[in-house]
Amino acid sequence: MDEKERKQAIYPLSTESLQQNGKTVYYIRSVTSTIFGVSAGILGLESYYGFLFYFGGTAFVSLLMFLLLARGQPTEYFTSAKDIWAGNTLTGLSSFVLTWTLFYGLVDA
Amino acid sequence: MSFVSTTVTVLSLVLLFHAGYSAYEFSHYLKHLTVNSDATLPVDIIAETIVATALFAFGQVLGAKQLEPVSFAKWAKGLEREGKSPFAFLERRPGYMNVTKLREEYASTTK
Repeated sequence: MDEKERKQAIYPLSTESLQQNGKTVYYIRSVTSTIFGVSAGILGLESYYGFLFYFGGTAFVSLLMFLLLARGQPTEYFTSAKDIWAGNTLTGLSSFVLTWTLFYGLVDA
Repeated sequence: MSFVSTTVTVLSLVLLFHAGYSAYEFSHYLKHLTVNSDATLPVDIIAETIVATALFAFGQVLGAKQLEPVSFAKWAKGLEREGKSPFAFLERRPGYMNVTKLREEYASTTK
C-alpha cells in the first residue's frame, strides 16, 4: 500500500459530503457565470477583455467561497485546496458566453 | 436561502437591470440623437454594473448550503449529534442480545 492509500484507509473520507460540497460549488459557479455574462454584455466588453472579465470574476467568487464557505480551511471540506480555487471554473464558460452575447446584442440599441 | 442572501441577490438583480436599461438608453441616445459617437459608457453605469455583479456573487455565496466536513470522523460526529449515526444498526443486533441482563433490567423497572 502506498502512502495515499494508507492515509485513505486510516482517515476515510465521506463520499456523501464530497458530493454535496461539489454540488454547492457547481451551483454557485454556474449561477455567477451567467450573471458575469450579463455584466460583460452590459459593459460592452469584447473578445479578450470579456474572457478576462470572466476569469477575474471567477477568481473573485473563488476568494469569496474560500473566505465564507470554507472559512479559510479548504482541506476540511474538499479533497485538496485546488478544488475550491480551480475546480469547475470552465463549466460556466458556456453560460457566460451565452448571456454575454445575448445582452451585448440587447444593450446595443 | 436565508433572508439576507435573498435580499442581497434581489437587490443586485434590480441594480443590474437598472444599469442595463441605462446602458441601452445611453446607446440609443448616442446612435439616434448625437452626431459624434465616440463617447464611452458613463462611469456611474460601469460602477453600478460592477457593484451589482459583486453583490450578486456575495449574495449567492452567503445563501449557499453549509459545506459538510469531508473527513468521515467529523461527518459521522455531526450526524450522531442528531441521532442518525451511519452505524446505528450495530447498537441493536439480535444475535448479540443478552437475555438475562434484559430480563433483570425489566424486572428492576416493574418491581
